[in-house]
Amino acid sequence: MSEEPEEQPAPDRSGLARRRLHPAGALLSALDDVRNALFSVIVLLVLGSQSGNFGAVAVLLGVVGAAVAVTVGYLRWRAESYEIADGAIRHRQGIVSPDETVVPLSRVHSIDTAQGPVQRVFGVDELHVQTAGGGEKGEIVLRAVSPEETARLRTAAGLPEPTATDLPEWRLSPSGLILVGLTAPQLGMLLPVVGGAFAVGDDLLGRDATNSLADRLPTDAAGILLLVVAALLAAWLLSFLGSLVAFAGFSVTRDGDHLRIRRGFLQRRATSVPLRRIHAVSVAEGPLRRPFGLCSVRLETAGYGREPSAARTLFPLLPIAGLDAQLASFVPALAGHAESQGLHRPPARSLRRYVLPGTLAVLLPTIAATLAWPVAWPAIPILTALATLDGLARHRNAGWRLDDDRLLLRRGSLTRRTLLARPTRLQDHSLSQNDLQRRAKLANISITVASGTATSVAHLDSATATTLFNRLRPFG
Amino acid sequence: MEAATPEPTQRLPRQARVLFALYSLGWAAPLLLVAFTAAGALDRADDASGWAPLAIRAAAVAIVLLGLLLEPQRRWRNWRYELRDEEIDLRRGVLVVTRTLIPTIRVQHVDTKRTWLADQLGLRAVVIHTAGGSHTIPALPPATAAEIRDRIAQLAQRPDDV
Repeated sequence: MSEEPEEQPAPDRSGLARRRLHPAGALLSALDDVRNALFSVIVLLVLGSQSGNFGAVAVLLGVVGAAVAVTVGYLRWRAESYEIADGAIRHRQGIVSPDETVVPLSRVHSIDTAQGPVQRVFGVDELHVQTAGGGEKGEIVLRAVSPEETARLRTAAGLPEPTATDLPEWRLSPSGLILVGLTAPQLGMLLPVVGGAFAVGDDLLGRDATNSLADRLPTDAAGILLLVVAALLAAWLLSFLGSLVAFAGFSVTRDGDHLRIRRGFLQRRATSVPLRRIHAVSVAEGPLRRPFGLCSVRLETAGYGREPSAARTLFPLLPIAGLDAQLASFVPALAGHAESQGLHRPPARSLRRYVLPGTLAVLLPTIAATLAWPVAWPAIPILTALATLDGLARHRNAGWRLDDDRLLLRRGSLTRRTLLARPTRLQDHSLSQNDLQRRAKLANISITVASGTATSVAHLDSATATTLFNRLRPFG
Repeated sequence: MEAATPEPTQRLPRQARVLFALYSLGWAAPLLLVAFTAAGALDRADDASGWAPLAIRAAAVAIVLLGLLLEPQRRWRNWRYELRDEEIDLRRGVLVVTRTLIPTIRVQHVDTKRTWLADQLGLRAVVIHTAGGSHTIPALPPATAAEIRDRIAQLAQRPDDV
């Protein structure tokens, strides 16, 4: 296997003397305490109002609470410090029993910044020291660090700030942002949330109110349709606003061997990803995007695997036709030629294996439901047709292609998902087969990339699948 | 270009079947309990419908027998592993047989795992962790487990950039 030369930046061994956070850290800590205590304060206030001297209790609680929070915040700020020494970032915090977290510089992926409202008032950054193992919240979180100090830390950690100008940059335009919101894939996932909101409404309004509400619910088809449309619109609106908040001001810059990604409206986030750690990206063409030739692209990088999708986004919205050009300038290792040519598809004989299991899984329960409750009969043709269409679409979308240095795996039904991976960087790959598939000479291929995402393509011709399995072995 | 991958040859020890059968008990016992409770309830129902409770009991016993006898036997028969310098080769599965290759360079760390149950049978598990997840060889004699763990750890010493 041809290993790429390791481009580990040489960290500055001289280190960085131990120091405290920006004083805004004390305020942030105090605000945390206030927020945590809010519930008990409200309970006490309610009790106080019952005993009749509401005002006195409120003032007392306010004064004492603020004093305690500020004192504790100050003590915590005094007890928190960080330094770079012996090739590691060391972070110490805790008033009573100080804990020290040590992260070797060689393990640091990036030092990300985030700015909440308080940080913005003081012009400081919240720093997240990221390694392969942790989540979006870094291994070490420094809540208030001045910009100059951020630059010094990054330099000392061997992850200097971008100095060059005129770097390749991709920005999400305001109209693009609106489109992201309108076509957001979270739409389907938000429907249960709306249902949940109704359930919470039940609890809050009490049974009587819910019952009277239920009496007023429309019972005719038009009324039910109207209700469903209203719920969909509400879900869409929520999803739309969520996307705006997550992706406002989204931009990607390539600075030599790092990508810098900035995003966020309330919380400004900036993250930096070394290119050599991007082993794969996944391209999603959702049902609202694919008809317009649009897709979104996500990074598949170790340590971000379990994060919400916004944290892993490389391009929130991109014309699929421009994908290869954008990859060529931002993630060249994963760029390739026009991607739908020369795809190896599952053979025609595997079609029924894509369609039948899903269709039967829907058909049998709906028949059972109709036997128990005859009114449900329309569910049989409608749901069965949907399941069949789903199977047909999954068969049509499935495929793979292996180029010299890029593996493409595609699958999905409503949303077509394409994984682009560096074949020499897979974490593992598998070939699987059940008895029926063995008789039909079919097999499934599955690969895992560093983010932990496993991707499989089912019911390929077993000879073709075995060829791919062998070609993916860790030596050429 | 691509060489055919040789099949893995190493098998698990025979005691592994006992361990697999004990694992099967984990779902078989609750299944029996539920099935027999349901059948008993049907028996006591007014319109005792004769065949239904009997069918439920028979089906439950059949499934449990399959789970305790055939499934462990087949799992053990299908399990193969092989350590090569560049890759770890695993083959396993009962209904779906899966062959997995893990490049040794991707291995982050290796554990031997010892549980009370496996200990009674003199067995250890080896767990191989990569950045993408973990893979387990579920039952090995302690000496073999230690040997495999050390060998993989040695092979995995080259640095990797995740």
